[in-house]
Amino acid sequence: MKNEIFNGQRFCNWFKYDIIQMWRTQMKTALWTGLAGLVFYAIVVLFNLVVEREWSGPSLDSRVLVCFIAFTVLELRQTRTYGFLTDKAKGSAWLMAPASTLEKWTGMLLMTLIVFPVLFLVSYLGVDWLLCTIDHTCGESLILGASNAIAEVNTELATQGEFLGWGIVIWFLISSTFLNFVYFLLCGICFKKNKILWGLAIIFVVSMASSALSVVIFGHGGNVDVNITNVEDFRAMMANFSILMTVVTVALAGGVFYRLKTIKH
Amino acid sequence: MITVKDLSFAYGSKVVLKNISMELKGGNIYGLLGENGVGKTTLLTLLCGLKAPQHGSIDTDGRSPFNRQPSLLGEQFYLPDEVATAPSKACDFGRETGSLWPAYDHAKFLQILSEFEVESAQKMDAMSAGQLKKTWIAFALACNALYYFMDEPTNGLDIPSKAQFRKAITKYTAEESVVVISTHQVRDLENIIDPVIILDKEEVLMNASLEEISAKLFFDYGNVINPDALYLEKTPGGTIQVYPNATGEESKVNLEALFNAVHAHKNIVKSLGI
Repeated sequence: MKNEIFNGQRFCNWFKYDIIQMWRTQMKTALWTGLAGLVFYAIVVLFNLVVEREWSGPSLDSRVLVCFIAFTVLELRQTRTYGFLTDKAKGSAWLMAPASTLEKWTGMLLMTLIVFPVLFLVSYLGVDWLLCTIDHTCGESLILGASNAIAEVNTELATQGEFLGWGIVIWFLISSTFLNFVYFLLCGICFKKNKILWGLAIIFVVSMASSALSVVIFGHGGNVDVNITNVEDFRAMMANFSILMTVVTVALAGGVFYRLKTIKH
Repeated sequence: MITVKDLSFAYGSKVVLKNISMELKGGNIYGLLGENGVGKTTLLTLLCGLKAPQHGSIDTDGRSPFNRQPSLLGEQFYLPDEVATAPSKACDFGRETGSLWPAYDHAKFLQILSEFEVESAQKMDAMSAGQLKKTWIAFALACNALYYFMDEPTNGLDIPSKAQFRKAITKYTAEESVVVISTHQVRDLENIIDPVIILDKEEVLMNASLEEISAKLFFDYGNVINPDALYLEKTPGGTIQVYPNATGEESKVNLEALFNAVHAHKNIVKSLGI
């Protein structure tokens, strides 16, 4: 009897097909977003040449900000990655393609959580590293800057006999990234129009509701006075946030599966 | 074989299909006819699994289409009225998408494309609506499916293409295939459709083969007016009349006249037991 739930060979076939289609549609945009750092560099150098009459690249702080903005744009664009599913013609063709819902869902999550962020980070950080290597007026590259910052914190902590560690930081970053990407993926396949607006509106409503609930339960509006006296508390807080984000991400991924299972045209 | 049992479907409070039962057997090209809004597309999307029955069931060789099992998806093809474009050449689209269908034949795809006079190297997002439709039809037929659900396949096709479509559908579908074609363009498909399913508001008015129809209704193309005619239309060469077949004499079924006769005299046609 054929495996109707998950077949490895069929999944590989499907994922290969999905990657080719994504390369033709969304991946090029992700790569262009990854080149935002290069555009920013060109603008700053040009500006400094005209105004300051000197060759000077953007500082690390400004490049961190631009990287953050570009990454946010990539997160928001996840509404478009599989957003065509709500389109009658494209959506029905995708749903009627011979692969199981679990295979399509797995491919979808791999694409959204791994392929797109990795593609962006590799292109963005790669270009940034290349620019910083060629032009020393930019200072440290983003990768070097981030690793130095964490090493600095750990060195500072080490003098007090404490250690924060990379693991918890990476878990925190990955869980928050996954949460955002899955959330906007779900918005993309649920709403027919104004997918980003709906996504942001829900975040706003949920924040307001949780604040209101917080007032009722704890007697304050969610502005918790964080009083961290040692690294252990800070690590515990990051771990708690990471666990919460991981749980919500799993729930949202379940929502994506449910949507795929029940979507109708 | 597809077995539909007590199928009901509504959009909110608007009931579209109510307690519909029928069997769709292999080796037939079913023509699904009906006025606008009677639920032809809804029925097609239910049959292929894009919608879930709200009541009743659809069984395709022991499988429920809405479960969207890969084995069934690989044996069927749904061609919507409006087909999707793709940012790739027709030949690449066929090879890449066809890799998902177990019985896909790329050589056959290229062959049908060439018969449709569509350049396989042309990019699909640069095609006209008719060329795009023909590419999808060629792809559908190259998938060698057992079940075809086609919604207005001749919409957007020019006159030669309609003839090519008729030829391709009879030539490239397997003998055991079930083909269901929803259409308003009955003249385009008159020679290939058999049996005929006529949908009316919420119900199936008729589900019969041309032989069964011809045994119960007589299609008279002469000039003598029959007072019992259920439908009469004057044509340049005479008339087309449809009336109950009292003599058992065979006649060529005219689908447009049949549709109009059935709609004008629903109860009489039902009493004939077609």
